[in-house]
Amino acid sequence: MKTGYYDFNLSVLNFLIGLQKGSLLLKPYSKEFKNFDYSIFSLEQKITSSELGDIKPEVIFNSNKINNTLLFESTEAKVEIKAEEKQGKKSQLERYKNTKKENLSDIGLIPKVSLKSFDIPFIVTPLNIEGYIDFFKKNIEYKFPTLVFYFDDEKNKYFVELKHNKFSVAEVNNFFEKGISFGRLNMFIKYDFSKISEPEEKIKIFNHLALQLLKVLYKSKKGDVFTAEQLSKATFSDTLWDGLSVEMKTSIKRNIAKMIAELFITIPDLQKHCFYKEHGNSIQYKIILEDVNREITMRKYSKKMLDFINATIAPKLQIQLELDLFGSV
Amino acid sequence: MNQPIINNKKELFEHFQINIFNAYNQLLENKKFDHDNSLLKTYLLEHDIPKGEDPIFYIKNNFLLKVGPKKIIKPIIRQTKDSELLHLRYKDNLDVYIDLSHDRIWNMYSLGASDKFEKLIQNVSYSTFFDNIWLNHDFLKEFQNSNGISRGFGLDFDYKKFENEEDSSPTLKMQLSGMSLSDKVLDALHLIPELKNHITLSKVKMKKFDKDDNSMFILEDIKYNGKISVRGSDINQHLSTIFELKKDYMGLLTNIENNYRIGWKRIKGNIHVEGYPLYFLKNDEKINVELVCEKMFDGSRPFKLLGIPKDIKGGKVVEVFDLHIGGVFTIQIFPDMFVIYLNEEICGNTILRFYTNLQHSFSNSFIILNDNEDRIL
Repeated sequence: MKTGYYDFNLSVLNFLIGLQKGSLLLKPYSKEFKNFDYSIFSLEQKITSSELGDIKPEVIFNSNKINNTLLFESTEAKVEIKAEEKQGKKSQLERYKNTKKENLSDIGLIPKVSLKSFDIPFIVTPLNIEGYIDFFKKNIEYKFPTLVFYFDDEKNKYFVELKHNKFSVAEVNNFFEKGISFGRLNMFIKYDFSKISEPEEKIKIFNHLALQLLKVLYKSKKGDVFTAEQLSKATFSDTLWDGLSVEMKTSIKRNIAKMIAELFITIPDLQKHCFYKEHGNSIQYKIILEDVNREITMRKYSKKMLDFINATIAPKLQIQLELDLFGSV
Repeated sequence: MNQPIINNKKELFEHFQINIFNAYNQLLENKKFDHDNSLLKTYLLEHDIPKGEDPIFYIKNNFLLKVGPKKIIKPIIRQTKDSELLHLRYKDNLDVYIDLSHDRIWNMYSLGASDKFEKLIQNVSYSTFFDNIWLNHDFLKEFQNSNGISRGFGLDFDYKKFENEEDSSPTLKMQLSGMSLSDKVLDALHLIPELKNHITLSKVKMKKFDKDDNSMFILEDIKYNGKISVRGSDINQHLSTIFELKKDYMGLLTNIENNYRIGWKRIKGNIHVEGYPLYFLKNDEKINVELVCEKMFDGSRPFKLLGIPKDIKGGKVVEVFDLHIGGVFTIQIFPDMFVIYLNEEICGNTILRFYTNLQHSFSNSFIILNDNEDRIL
């Protein structure tokens, strides 16, 4: 059976966003979930305090209607790693356990009205769920509702099941306790930023970069200049690009230059007819493509460029730096 | 034909008034036109010229008449006394007037030979900054019903692009003119199960009257790509058709662009995902996902979409480059639907073009829904 690409973190994130947005693909669950009137308060928000250290849930939902906040943490890591993983002085699990309403309202700026109660649902893989349940049973002070998320290739469906502990709000608990299964997932978020250096994610990003390059060649006038940074911003969107570290930005820009240099070697006509690299300190390119011939030229090179970038260039390029997309509040 | 010097829209429409009336009388007397030089043709053209830029620059570069493999005729552009009206003259005896007053859709008029005007529009709409407007089957039908009296229709469905040994469907092209029974014929065709998903309107023909004076009327053929052929006794009726058509079309465009573009926003320091996807649901037999991916994303017409499909659970996903306008968006393909995610800059016309082309070359059994299952198209 053809199984198709599956990324745990990306799937969980898209599931949660779809649930909140009332996705058609997640009906009837998303419709029922809408009744709780949760908003997405933030994605990947880092909440830092000196007593607590950092916590950085994947998604925070808050609802003024049912006065509840959910801090979803999804992980492919084993419980032992989470219990030992130090950042500041305590393990991640401990930092979550010690999180208080005041931390979330005063530092996280989550409205108090939605903090009458809050939960920290942990979403883990089938491989690790037993380990988490055992750990939480032995350490009853950890009250995290613990869910398993997976795709069953036999049944061709995704499953989300609440396996341990309860949500504070009875209706929310009932919702998750019934279990959720669905066949398709939306793709609100396309990249798993935590795996940016892994082959699948890297090829996706470079494919998108290639499309942005095509867009620039299409939309620019003869004589226009574009930079590697402009291509990157268009790929990640301005908002996300701003959240990248300086090192990350530099690495991506350098890779774009390499990608274009390889393209010039493979398809020399690109440099002759479409655009060339300008000499200077920053990486920038000048459009020499005549508008009159744009369509003919682009039709000739577009597919060749895309195929070449996907099959040959992207796997060779390296992005190895860690990402901190969203910073701290 | 001697072309008077037109200085403004008032003079232009007076000139057209005379010509459409003559065209109608010629048709009555001879039952056919000797040639269509005197028939008024209006094209509604969507443009994507960046705000504040000079439209003449883009017209100079893109409004080229290709008359041979290497022969291109450039227009002589004359600015009339009305700053919103341009006159383009091509050596090959073609005069075109462009009304630039609308910030999104221009009206292009010509009394010149239909084949030359169409060739020009074809060239223009292939360029990055211009596109046809795309009137889908239901839009055309509803527009005809609410704006005039039906006088016929044209159908155009061609499955050639997707045809293979196991999967062949009919090519269905049909014209019906001057019949008050045309709606009944259309309804009857829908009752044939083998045809019902291939019945796609390519044009509607309608008659409009001045409500106070029956002698003032217009006969219009409205094509799915925004071309309107006109004859009759009252140019004002035609101008009202253009106004209504643009109003209805802009309603669709703005709805898509305001609600269905996915973007990242930073609000009070936090990251949010805004906007919703569009779901193209197919109501009858399943989509052959492999076949669609093989044929739809190779950059060829009519879709002009380029991308490399990748497997996901239950289907495929394609990051698509739209060769028509140079935009990027994402499509998921499942056996029962397409899900489209427009990015922040993509123009709503992309969706309307994709949908209309699906109806003409794949199947007319799609409906577009949002997450609330409200029908968008």
